[in-house]
Amino acid sequence: MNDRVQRLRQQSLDTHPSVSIERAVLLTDFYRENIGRYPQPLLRAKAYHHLCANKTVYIGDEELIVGERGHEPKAAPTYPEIICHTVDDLRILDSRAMTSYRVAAEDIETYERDVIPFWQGRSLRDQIFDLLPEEWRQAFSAGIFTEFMEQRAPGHTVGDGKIFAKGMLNFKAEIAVAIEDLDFESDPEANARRDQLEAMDIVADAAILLANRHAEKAQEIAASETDPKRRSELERIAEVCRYVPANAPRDFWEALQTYWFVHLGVITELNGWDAYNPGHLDHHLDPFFERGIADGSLDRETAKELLECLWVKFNNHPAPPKVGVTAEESGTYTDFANINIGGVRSDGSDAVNDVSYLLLEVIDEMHLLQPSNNIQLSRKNPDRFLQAALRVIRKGYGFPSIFNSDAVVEELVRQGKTVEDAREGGTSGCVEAGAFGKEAFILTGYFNLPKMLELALHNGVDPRTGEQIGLRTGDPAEFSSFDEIFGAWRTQVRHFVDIKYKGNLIFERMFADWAQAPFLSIVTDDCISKGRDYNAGGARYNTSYIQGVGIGSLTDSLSVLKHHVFDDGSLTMSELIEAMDNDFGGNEALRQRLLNKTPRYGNDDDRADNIMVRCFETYFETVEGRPNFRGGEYHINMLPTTCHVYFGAVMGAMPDGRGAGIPLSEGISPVQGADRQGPTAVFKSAAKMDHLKTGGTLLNMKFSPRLLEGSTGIDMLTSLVRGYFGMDSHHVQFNVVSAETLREAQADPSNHRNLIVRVAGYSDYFCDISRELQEEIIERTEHEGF
Amino acid sequence: MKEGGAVPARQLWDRSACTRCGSCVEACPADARELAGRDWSVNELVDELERDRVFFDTSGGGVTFSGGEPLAQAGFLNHCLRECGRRSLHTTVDTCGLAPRDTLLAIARSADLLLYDLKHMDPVRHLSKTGADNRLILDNLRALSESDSDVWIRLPLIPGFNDGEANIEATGVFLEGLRRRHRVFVLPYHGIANGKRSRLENSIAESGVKTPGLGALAEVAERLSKHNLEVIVGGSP
Repeated sequence: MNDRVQRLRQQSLDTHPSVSIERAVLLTDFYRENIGRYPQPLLRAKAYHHLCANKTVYIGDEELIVGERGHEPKAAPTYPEIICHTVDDLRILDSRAMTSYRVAAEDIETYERDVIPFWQGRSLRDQIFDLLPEEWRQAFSAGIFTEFMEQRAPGHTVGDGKIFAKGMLNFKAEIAVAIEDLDFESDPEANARRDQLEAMDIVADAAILLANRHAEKAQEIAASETDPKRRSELERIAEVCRYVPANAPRDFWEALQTYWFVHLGVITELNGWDAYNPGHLDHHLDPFFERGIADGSLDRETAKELLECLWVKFNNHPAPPKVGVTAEESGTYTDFANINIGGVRSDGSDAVNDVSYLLLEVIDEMHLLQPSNNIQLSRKNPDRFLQAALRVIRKGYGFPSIFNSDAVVEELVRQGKTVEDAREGGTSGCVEAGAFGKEAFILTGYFNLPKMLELALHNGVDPRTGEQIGLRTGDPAEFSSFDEIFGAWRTQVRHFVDIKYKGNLIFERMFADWAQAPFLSIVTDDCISKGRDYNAGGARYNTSYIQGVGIGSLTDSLSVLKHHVFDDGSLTMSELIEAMDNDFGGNEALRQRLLNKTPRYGNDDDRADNIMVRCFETYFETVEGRPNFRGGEYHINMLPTTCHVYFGAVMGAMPDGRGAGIPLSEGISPVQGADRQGPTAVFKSAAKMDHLKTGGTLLNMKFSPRLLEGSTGIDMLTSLVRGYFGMDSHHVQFNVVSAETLREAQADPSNHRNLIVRVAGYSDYFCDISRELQEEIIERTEHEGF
Repeated sequence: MKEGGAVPARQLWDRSACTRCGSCVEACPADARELAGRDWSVNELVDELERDRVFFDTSGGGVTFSGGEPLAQAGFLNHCLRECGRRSLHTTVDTCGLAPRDTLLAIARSADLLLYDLKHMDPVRHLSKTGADNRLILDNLRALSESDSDVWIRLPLIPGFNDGEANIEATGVFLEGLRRRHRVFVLPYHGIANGKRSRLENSIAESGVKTPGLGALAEVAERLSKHNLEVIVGGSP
């Protein structure tokens, strides 16, 4: 990277995240004046316009790609209309040990004086919690499931190529046509549609306004700039910002700035999960790159510099501050914008191009926390592409992660997408499959699968609190077969998925009615033609996911019950439950026996893997196909972010020998240390799950660097990945860091600040994750040989 | 003391009383004890090998029978090789070559590839470090070279034993004189067996031999390649 990028990158690394209250103050001012004067979509659109007209415009020294969501880099705004942080929340954010955000004392005062009094009781969170049934709240606080929308808006979506072909002025013209076509004679929804469309029109103007304000700012700085080189850069920035996003970009620079303005628009109007994401950036940029190289207006180094400036922008935007359970399930600064590289085009052809390799170089040079990145690996992509990615992975950043593009397409087609839309899709967030630019695929919360077994083993009582929160599925001591305990588990799963689902419908409706996202609607098909908001079913496809967590821990626990209690009778149910309830105190020999003498998931051993498949199928059947509020369906995926740590913390000891409070297995990975037959056996076990019935699975593997040395190591890993993907699996990610290095970092964090490791679906700075998570990553089986 | 190796905690294990029944392994809850080796039927073993077929397919890989010395169980080995062949699994046998001629040739016919160790050209030196002289080994290799089996030669370079100029020259001359030219791999001696030695309760003292550097390997490879041989440093082509 050149000196400019080096300085911008370092500045981004050195700046500690902070809270910017500017958005909250501007929004509160606007709402105080205007609440009740407009229909809700127009109120939100006008409020957004107010933000764009008044927010601080920041252009930093040496920047080429411009625009910050806060008033300065790393300053994350708050969204009081969604969640109204209390003074305590702000103080905790400022002072907590992990993922803290600096909050200035005078800002806390302003918040307490101006923001909190207006939003308390009015924020969407406050309204929704009043509507939720008691059984939902009980399950939520017991750690049975989490709720993604308790502090953040839905979103979970990704852009397609449309913003590179059309400007806001084109979208405004489409909106005008849609309004023109409204049928007030026979469509009772016509007035509502007009409101939504007018809201979209207003925010399109707001986006142009914000870009123009950047142009003015650049011009203003240029006027007093003494360095002629920088002056001409600033003039170029002004020219770019005057042209995009009003119009479709004409060159590589404008294409990147277009994306960044769209990104800012999406993440400013709401605090949607997973920010926003350009999706297949290499597909989108390829024509601009080729054209620029051909006509001599662009060279590879300039393209790389511009991309690296964009990378800094992503890294400047930590996730909006999270508190409480949401901070537990997603304890990271990462906001999960996850750039896709490779895969196939809509016609099914190999999409790997020069920009794909350029992006891999950028990722390697920058190795920043954000943006996340992945390769979509199709059987049509050359090995050279995979190997280029593996050489980056080998450095130990934990990225890019690797997805099976062919499986992702098949998953999306199974869910009802056209094959073209599916091929233009990919994965976002951690591992979630979606049709980019056309789908609202909303993650709604994690579901604690092992906790259901804990309840079944205690006749519905949560041993942590002694409360009867589950169904009375019978005294397990009287069960005479494995099928009975499995049946009790299934009953608890169905019961709590029902409760989760009832809560979800409330969240979905409230967001549709109160938290319109007109800007996101503009860039998502078919919100304009339907005259419907993104959060109300405007997208072409509308999916809701509930993410299953802990299938490895669940499988091993059931395997203990099957093999020791029911098959060989070497242990009675009462003995086992008593030992669990005492956290195996004084019974280490039993715990060791359960850990070591039980068929366990991850060893290509059908005795355990068949149980895993049965659990998976049960969970799938329980969730699959339920209708959501937006006209789409529920599906499952299997990923945890950091929720396996939280879910483990709310559980006592389990039959698999896991002690009380210890993290559960993550994703579809085996329990930490349970796999003893090497990586091929892990892959074989994991592939017995029918990944194509999910919208994403997450498999984490850790290798010592030695194993991946030289071209032999790369060749071996290439074969392993191709083999795993040949079995229709979804995703794999590799951590290539020695346990020794991690221990050193734990002992001496100050000298290992930049150490990035793969957590679960994303990478994070090792020193920024909790001690428990650090321990878990160290202990995760370090495969020493194939 | 109970029958077999199982003994109460804190007592030392008495190797002389061990009947290899494995009851101690079964009894240890922490899996601290491990039984090396087990009985397999041909089908059981090949079923186990076939579990990794998907990865053999993507890597162009297969099964390597090594040891110890796989020809010590030549009959079983041959059955396994044929069963693998029947299931289209690629097979390689890694041998020191010390086996009756007919046995070795039969194995070579059943396997897809033979990896053949040449440790020293001098029979006395060979005998002193391996316990056997090398005449049969060299004769066997001549016979293999007369056959149409695929054979790769492996020279484990052991500093102070076989890395002298004279031995390398002699090796080159011998290989050049064979009926066919075989690929030669020069491998660095490694200390992986030290762990095994300690588990065998120092029945053989630690070798103390150092792993040779890349430079030494390249020098030997260079010398050998002057004998019209294709020489590769390391284990993979």
